[in-house]
Amino acid sequence: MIPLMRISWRREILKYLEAARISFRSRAAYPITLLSRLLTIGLRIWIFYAVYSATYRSVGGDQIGGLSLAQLLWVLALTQSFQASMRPPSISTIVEEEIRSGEFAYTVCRPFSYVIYHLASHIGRSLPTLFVNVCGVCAVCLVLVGPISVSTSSVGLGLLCLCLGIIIDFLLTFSIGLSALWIEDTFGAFILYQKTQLVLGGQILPLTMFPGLMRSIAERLPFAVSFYSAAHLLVDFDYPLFWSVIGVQVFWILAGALIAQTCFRRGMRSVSINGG
Amino acid sequence: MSPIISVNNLCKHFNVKERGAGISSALSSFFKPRYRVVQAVENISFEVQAGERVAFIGPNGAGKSTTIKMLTGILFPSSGSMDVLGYNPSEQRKELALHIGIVFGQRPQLWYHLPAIDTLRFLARIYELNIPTFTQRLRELSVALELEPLLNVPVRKLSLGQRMRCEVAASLLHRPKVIFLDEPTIGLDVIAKQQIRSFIRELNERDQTTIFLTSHDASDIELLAQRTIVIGAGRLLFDDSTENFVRTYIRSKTIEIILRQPSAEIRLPAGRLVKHEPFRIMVEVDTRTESIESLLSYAVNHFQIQDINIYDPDMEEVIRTMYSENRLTGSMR
Repeated sequence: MIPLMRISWRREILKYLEAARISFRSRAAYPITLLSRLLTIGLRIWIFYAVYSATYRSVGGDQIGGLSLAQLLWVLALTQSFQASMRPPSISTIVEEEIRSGEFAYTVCRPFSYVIYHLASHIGRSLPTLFVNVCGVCAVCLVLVGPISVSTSSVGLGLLCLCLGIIIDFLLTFSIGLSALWIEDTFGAFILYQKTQLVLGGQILPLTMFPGLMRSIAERLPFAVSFYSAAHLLVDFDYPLFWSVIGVQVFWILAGALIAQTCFRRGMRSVSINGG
Repeated sequence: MSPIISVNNLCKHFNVKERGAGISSALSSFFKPRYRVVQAVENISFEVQAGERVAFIGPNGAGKSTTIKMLTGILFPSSGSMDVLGYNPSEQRKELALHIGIVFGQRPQLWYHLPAIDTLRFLARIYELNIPTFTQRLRELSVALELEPLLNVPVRKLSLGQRMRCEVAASLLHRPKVIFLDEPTIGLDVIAKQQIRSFIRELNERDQTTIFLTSHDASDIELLAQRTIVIGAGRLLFDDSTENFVRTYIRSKTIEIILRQPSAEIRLPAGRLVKHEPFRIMVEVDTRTESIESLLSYAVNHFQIQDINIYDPDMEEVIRTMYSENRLTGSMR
């Protein structure tokens, strides 16, 4: 028997950094695709601007739900850009495709954690799109409503929330993709997740505009803390809100990691790749 | 010497969902699903020694790929035990992965939009190779598989044969002690097949790497394997030297002669006429008793030939022969 090697954490971390690097390079190989996606986000922001300008005019005040029109547009634009950078293709589609095509057989036979490898690849793949999208929506918002004031600490802590939010969104969509090991098609489950995120995740209506009970429920679900909360904190930072968001995010990361790891372990036991 | 691969009474069954046609069947299947149990692998046992070249063959659906997937830890067995390099693949998949290489001929592992060198660098990191080791290994593989002009070309622009050479290099970068090859030459042209075969053979002879191969191509088996294990309907049917297997079962070749001018009368010096069309003749030759040379020289002298192809019997045919002749004795299990 070959002696068991001690795990070197440095080597393990370098593996996942390499996975992120190669995914980054693969995505960055097509800059035109990155720019074409930005156009659709730009169009959505313009529609939000038109709709919410009319809403603010009809209400007659400077603020709705504690946000000015400029802040609201920045929050929605950043939320949209964060979410759009993670898909398409979503990690659930990637994992499902990997299982269907049989590429799964190669990936699970590598000396790394399947879940962490996909997280690293997901982050690497999303970074070029995230960079282009954020730069693009900032430019659009500057043109439409002008700049907003932010501090270095609010940007730093907002970005921390974004990192945790990306992990939550990854863990949940990854678990949906892994369900391809049991069910025939995961598309329905993913669409349900995406539409719930659209409604309860503050992507078209900020949570500050939700009625009381609905708002407190939405704030505790994983959909808003994935992308909206980070956008809100970047635009309108508030320490109590920050700590509350971090608490919810830590809970959902732990829950999501448990779900993903359980799905993977149980899924591996029921893999039925019959035939070549 | 203890075996490097040891398989004892290994079984794998799958539950396959069954559903009739139509909406009512779809609805009833949703509420009350029906499953059929498929016995993919049934009670097989064998051992492989270090440095052996073993062909693991059988018809479609025989359980070859399922066995390889269990030996590499991708699938969990329903019952039985296995040991690869001292590891239990089901429980120690990650540890085992550092010491084995896998080539699935029909599944890509290279990053499609990037040059092959990027995947190789990625794998070097994954398999914990330091830079000098990686550079030296890459040099060796580049020479053996003629990769130099291919490494910096995006994979999507490579031909199937070129891509396959890079795939093989990717699987062998970390000098695995055992290589599992599942149809490594499928879809390749003659030259690409030859390159892959000679490289695998060289690897075995030079590094004593154990080769465990499945293929539908009888030539792969004849040219690569010292020992052949035949599996059919999940059961082990034959386990003996390849020489014995070929002598006993791969005893015919089919020769296809494409003609420029139609030929009406044929008197063959050897073989059995299988098909006779105006521009095409197919002849089956028993290689134990008849000479292919005499048939070919007859063809050259009597026909205007456009092309000649020589085919090995397909594996389904070989297994049918094994069953029909009821020769499941001696080395047959």
